[in-house]
Amino acid sequence: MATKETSKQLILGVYDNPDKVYSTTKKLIKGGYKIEDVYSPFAIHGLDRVMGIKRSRLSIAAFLFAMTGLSLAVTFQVYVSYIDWQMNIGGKPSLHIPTYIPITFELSILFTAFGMVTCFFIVNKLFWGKNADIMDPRVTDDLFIIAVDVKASKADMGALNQKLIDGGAIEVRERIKEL
Amino acid sequence: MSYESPIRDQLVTGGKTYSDVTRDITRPLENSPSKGWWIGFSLSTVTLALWIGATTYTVLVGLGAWGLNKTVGWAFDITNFVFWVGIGHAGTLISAVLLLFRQKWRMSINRSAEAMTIFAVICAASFILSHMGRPWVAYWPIPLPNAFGTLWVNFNSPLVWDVFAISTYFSVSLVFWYVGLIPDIATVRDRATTKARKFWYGFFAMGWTGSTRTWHRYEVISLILAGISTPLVLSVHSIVSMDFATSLVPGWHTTIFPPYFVAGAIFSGFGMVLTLLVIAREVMNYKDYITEAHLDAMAKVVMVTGTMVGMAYITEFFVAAYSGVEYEQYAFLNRAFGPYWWAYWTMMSCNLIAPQVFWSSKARTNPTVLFIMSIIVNIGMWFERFVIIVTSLHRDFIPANWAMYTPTITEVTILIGSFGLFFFLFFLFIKFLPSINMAEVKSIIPTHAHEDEHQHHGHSHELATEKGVLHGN
Amino acid sequence: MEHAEVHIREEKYTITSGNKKWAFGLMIVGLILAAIGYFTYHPHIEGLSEHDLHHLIQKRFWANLLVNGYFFFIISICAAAFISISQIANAGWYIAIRRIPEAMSEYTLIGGPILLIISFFALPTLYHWAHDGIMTEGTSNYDALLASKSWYLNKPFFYIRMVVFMGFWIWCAHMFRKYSRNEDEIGGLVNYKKTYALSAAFTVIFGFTFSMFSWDQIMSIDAHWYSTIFSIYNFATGWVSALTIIYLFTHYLRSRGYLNIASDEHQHDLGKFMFAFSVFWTYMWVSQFLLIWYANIPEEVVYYKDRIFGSYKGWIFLILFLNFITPFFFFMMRDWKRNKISGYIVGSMILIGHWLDVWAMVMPGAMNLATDPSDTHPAGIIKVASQGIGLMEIGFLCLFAGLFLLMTLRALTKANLYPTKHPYVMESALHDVGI
Repeated sequence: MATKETSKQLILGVYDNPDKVYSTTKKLIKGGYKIEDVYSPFAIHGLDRVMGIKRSRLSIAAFLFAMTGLSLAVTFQVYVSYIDWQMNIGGKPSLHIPTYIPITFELSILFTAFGMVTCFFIVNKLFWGKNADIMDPRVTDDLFIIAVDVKASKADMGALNQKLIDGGAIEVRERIKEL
Repeated sequence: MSYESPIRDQLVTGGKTYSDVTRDITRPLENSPSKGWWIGFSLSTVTLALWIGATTYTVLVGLGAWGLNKTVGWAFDITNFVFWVGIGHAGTLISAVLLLFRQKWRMSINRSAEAMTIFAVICAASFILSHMGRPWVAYWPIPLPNAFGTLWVNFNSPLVWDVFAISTYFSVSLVFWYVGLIPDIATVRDRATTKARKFWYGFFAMGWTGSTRTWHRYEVISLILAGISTPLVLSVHSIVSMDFATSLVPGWHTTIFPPYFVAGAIFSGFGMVLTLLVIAREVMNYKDYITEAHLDAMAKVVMVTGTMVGMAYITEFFVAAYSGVEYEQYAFLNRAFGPYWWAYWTMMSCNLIAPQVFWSSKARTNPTVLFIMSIIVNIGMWFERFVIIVTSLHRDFIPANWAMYTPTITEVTILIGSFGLFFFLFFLFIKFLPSINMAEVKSIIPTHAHEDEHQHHGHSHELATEKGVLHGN
Repeated sequence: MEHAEVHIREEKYTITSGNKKWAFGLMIVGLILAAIGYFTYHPHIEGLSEHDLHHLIQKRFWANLLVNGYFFFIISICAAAFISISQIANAGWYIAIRRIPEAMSEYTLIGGPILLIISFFALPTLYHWAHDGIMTEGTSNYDALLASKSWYLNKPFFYIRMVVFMGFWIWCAHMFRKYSRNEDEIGGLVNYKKTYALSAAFTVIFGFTFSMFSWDQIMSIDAHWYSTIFSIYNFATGWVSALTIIYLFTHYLRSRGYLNIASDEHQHDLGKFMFAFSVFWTYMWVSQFLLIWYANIPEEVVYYKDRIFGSYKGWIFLILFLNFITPFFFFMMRDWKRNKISGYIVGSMILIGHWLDVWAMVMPGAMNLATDPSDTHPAGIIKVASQGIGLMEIGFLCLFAGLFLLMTLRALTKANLYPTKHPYVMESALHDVGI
């Protein structure tokens, strides 16, 4: 890499209908355009697959957190009730495995939930107090925006504009995104 | 877009557009509260004051302020605890289980149900604290190395399991609720006109931009959160039931308790959801979001779970008779025909018999009937816990110890006051947070700009069916 | 939004010679194995008389018939319950595979009568409470506890319950099929609405009657023992097994080029169901075991004394492995639910696990020998250790599996492989699990 890019030039196609966004995105991807992102007030079913977003590995993270919680819970309970200080409770063996089940289960769930959600925040760079870099205030209300990375697409601006408008865009804008 | 059969009910009526949804749902947040809100909020604040007073009195005086005796050591406190925890189950159930089952009608009721969950668990926890008598040692069930020796908590004890279960449930529900709120908080942020609103909603929106990459991960974690919350909901009330079922007390020790408590929790939770939503759709004018189809579906869940609970009552009774164990048999006869017979038959008629009215589709969609039924269900489920706890304890193994339990005015005040706590939090919630999940509701609105084309598609489906060839749209 | 073009076509299944070979082959091999097993079974247990040992052979024979008769019957009736529950939940995704549970429920037509006949012979052989004189005061084998149950556990009432319950279920399953097939002819919503109404009634009545059915058929073998969760536990067994068979049939039919509207998406959702209800089954198992083990009341814990702490120990752990660990870890992964090979492997493991579970519910109680109550045998029972899985077990399993396969495949030929005019058929055809 010669020089590090400091900004990205984006062309924004503004839409008011998710169906149009879906079909336009599909066409653009087919046409070899590099789509920076699509912004929408709700998740558009199937759009992630069209954009070629790989299935998130957060589910693997969740599983690993579950296993962490599980092993910590078992270790701790075994340590407390078998290794550190044994007690005779109702004549049951000190290594009373069946009664470990509830707490082990709960802690696995607790670790999964918190671990996974924390990872989710990290990978999306979401944190409290972050200043949102929104494309348009109405993108959380009723507008949908396709952002095309001009440079990476090596796009002819005129053709791109036309494509976005043919897809039903109510407006096409240009925007520089600071990196 | 997934395809919907034309015979399905519209889940958002009134031809709402996306911006209509935003406007309708953010209205209570952006305008000064209505008179109705002020009245409700003041009433619940007064009731909350009662709760604070009675709880403080209990803490100062000790458990002598309650009607407990050495035979009936658990009564109103644990009844109220189980009652509130039970109510706390519908929220996560609606969000998680119905998400897994792809029941789209959950979308306009899940937010308030989840809020209800959190507030109900807070109420429940307050009873755990106050029933300890010495709430300042409430940290004792937490497995900390003991400062006075080498003893740890007893991991055999279902009460310790309960501490883990309730706190896990509370925190995971809170996370689930908050994750669901982020996109909606961002919507409020982007509409904010005042500085304070912009700052606070902006702070909690975590810089949400509506990016599809984020949405993708968001959907993945929502699904997994739902997947882990479902067994969590089941486990929490199962563990609550084990507080009773691991004992040797006839009427408590029965293996059906875990699923039976879970069914009861869903039942009572839906009862409370109905109470809240039937009012909310009138007062806040959400009839286009909480439609008759929603009411119908909720009424069906109430009927099914009520019947399941009723089946558990009958199973217990039957198996007690079948078991041939005198103590079991007596415990159940005493419930139905002993001195607390009225509590038992209140429970039976409210939980098993009354919900059968929902076989009628007219009853399922009539808000008045639903409201009355929801109150009946709440009463019935409170009595269920009272019956299980008090009638099993008050005549124990030695007849010389038999005793009756009567609540004191303090206990009744705490019970009533806990509703104050609950509604106080709920009123704050509807004032400051969007009480319907806007992002989800928008996703089930037909794409309005394409209405004509949709009509056309729907038409071609029907035509094609006859030819035996269909084209999906 | 564009989707791939979907053709709703009227396809009919034709039984292949391979199908016939498998079904009849299983039945014939099963019969032969069972016969060899029966004639070569010569138990040698110390302290038992020749008469007792002879009795043991009879017991094992009838117990095996009961295990299989019950197992396959509850699977087929749970298939009907799958239809009715999906119907009242307004589910749309399952329409592509709906004819499979319908076909499975056709087994009830002969599975019901077979179970009735088995019960007729098994009752005096396997069920302690049905022994002559046990409830009559003054006889040498009089058992006061069992006598106190005579209001419920008596032969006429047992048969009445069985006939009425099974009759109602079989009739409902028949009506579900009839409405569904009729819908293919006339279309419209008439049959849909009729199915809806019947489903609501069936689901509620099934809930109550299945409870009693499981107590009668299985719980009353250990006549002194009782557990309130038992019926839900049994329902979980039948339900998971039924889902698994639906899943396996879907894979099979798709691999033969049928079910053009069913896809990996349906497979995925069925797999999720198997995963979820395997966890549900485990929840039931743990609830029953944990509470009984914890309280340690002798009359209850005796059930696990034979099983988890007795000669069935290894089998119980195998069952937990097959029914919980297998689906939990393998079907947690997305691709394993969608892939045919992994689906076949995990599916068969689950089925074997649940068959073993029914076997472990029946055998310990059924193989006990009755004797006169005395100080050495206060319950009037001589315990017999596990006889393991032998030729008789495998033979009868094959026999019933072959019969079940034959009935289901034959039923599949009777109508289109999926309902072409169901109001939700397009939803199912375009079904997509999403994330």
